[in-house]
Amino acid sequence: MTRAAREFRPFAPRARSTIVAIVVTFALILAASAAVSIWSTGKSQNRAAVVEIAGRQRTLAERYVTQLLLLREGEQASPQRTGVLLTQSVNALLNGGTAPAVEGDDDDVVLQRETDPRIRAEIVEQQKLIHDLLANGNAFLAHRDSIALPETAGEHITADDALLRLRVLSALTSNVSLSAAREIAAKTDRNVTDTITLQIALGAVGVLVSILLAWALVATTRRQTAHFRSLVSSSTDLVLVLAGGNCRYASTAVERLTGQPQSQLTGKGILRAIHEDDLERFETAQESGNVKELVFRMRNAVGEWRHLEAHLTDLRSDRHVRGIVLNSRDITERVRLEQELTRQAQRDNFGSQLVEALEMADEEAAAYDVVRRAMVEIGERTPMELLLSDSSRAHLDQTAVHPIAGAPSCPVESPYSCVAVRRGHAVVFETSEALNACPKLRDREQGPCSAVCVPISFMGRSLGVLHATGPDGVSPSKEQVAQLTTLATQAGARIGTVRAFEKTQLQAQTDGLTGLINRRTLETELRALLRGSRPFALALADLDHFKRLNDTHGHEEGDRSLRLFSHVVRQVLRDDDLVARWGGEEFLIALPDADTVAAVEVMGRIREHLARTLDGGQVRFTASFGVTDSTAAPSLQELIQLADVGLYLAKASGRDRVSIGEWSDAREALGATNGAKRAPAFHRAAADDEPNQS
Amino acid sequence: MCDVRRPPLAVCAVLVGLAFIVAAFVSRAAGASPSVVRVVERDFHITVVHGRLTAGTVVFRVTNRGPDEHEFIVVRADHGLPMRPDGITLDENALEKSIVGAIEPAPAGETNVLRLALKPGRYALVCNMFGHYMGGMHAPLLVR
Repeated sequence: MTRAAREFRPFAPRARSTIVAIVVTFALILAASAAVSIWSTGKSQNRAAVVEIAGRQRTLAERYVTQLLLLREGEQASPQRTGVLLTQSVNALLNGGTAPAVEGDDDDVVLQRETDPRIRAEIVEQQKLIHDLLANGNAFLAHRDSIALPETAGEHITADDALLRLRVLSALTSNVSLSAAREIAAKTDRNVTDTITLQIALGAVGVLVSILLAWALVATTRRQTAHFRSLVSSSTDLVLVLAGGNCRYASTAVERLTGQPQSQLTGKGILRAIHEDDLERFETAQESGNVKELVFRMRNAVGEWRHLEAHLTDLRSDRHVRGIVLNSRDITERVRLEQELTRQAQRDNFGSQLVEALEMADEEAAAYDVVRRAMVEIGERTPMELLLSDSSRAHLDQTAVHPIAGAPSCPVESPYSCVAVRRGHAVVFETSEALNACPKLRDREQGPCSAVCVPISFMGRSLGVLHATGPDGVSPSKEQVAQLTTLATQAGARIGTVRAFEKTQLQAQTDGLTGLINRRTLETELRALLRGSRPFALALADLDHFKRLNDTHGHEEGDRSLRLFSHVVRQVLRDDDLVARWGGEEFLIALPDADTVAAVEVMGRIREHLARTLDGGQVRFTASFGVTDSTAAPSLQELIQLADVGLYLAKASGRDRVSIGEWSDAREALGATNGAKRAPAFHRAAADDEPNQS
Repeated sequence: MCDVRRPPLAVCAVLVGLAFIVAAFVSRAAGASPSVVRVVERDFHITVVHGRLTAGTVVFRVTNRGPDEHEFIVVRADHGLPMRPDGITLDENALEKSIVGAIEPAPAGETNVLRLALKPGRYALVCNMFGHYMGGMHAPLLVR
């Protein structure tokens, strides 16, 4: 059976009951001692009177005999009176009452009944002797023979002489009285001794009980002190008591935190552990006493600054403390968490702004501009550059540079020469001089440096790397690395998307074989020119005898011829001229700000350039052109029809030439066979192409 | 086979009796036990109880029955006992050479032992406290 654990009550006022018990014990002991003293003193006074009366009996017995003799000799004496005194006194001694005064000697004395059986027996014996003495005295005075008188006290007096008998009885009475007085005195002595012993015992018991209670008080106080000490010692709260600019007390938690003993923390020692930026606030707080809360930093045993949140209590008027009590808690983790949350919020803000900015960039150039502005946001003085691969993904080009701090100018040439790209995650180098630093960081003009390299990818394909450098030996902050990572991720996603979109758009707008814009694109452009009332010339070109070329040399040669023709046309045309593959071996050419005459000239140059180009031994072919301009018709459809008429005329005229389409020729070219939907002249010409070729 | 004969029972009893007799003699030769005299004192006479007293060690076992204190004096009384001039108490100065032994005054209820080597003669056992002797506290003792 286990003993129940003692209840832990550090604030229980146990000491109060102990002190009360001590006081009560002292009071009881004192009261008992006083009572014993009073009782003993009263008893002693009574005993003294008894002894006096008992002793007086001896004198009275002798006086009785003397007075008998005097009276018998005729002298004046009163033995009867003495006999009465003897009798009354012995009765008073035995049963209590008044012992009468002896004339001239004393006063009446009131005695208490004797209770001691031994003394009572002596007094009874005395009483009997007095009786016999008085009987013999009376016989003596009456001259009677006393031998026959009864002896009541056990004496056996053999003397015949009456006087001798009286003297013997007087002697016995005297001796017995003396013996009784001595016994009473002895008893009084014993009482006094007993009283002294009792007093000593009471004192000893009082002292013993007091010692026990004091021990209990000390134990209680010690236990309570131990409770509080354990509470304070085991508490993680840091407690300081400050007074007059000095530390008077530092709890165990402070010793643990600072790694210094209390002796070094008291006085001014505590100030050495406090951050110099917080020192003034700390000293002001302890001097004023009005500050209730204080946050300061204290260096711990390993030199790390810990944030402490202190609650100050002004107990300078409390005589038990006489100082300001700082109850502090270590809030470093909370502060770090708050800082991290702040940084996270800033990062989130940066990230959301970056995403929004990049969403608005519909071209790579715009995305690069966003990247440059983001670089400034991350670090105004941090050199950065964005290195992206070209379409071949074999080379890295510097596409964006920090507008203020410039570029770190990493010499990396291809994506897979970059360690960050190979690893697929951000790489941080504290110093370029470290053994494991990227070799491309060494031997730079600006000297040793720290660096961050963040790979950029899109849909799992590496696009390049975002590179930033800083002072040598100083690692970029986590926040900077996080922002660079965000920038790399978002920029990679946006640039990859833009590139994919541009590629798709290009594929939708161009002809896959020749690389020229397609028919729909050109129509869009031409309508735009018409809406803008910008004049332009229009030419419809067609490769002569193309079907025969295909049949004779194969489709690959046909395709090559189409690409060659396209290349020749692009070489001859201006940059803002438009050319599209219109279908099959047809090409539609638009020359902004040109008229029919100019177009005829340009087409002529194309024919000439084509002829020169084919001098190299390739399969030879020619082309026919129908020309018109925007002044000839209000609509695109009609303009194309006119160009088609021109092409028809060129074909009909023998091919390899340029003809202008006129409405006057249109009837011949288009015919009137299909009123609902007129087939283009070219197609009909093409249908006739083969017979004409034969 | 031999025949074992037991001694008669009467012979054994005689032998045991002889052994007791021899032991008694040996004991007497080694030293006789002292005579004991029981004395009772009370107010005011002395009672003495004893057998035949012979010279030698005598042990007095004295009990005071009270109620007063009494002393006990053993004094040779071959030639009478001298009194003081007051005629009430014995003259102990004159009896100094005659006093064989004494027990100081003892309270009632107390028993004391006095061991004396007494020669043959007449002795008196007395209490000589004031008036006690004349009051009757004396008893004779004869040692042969």
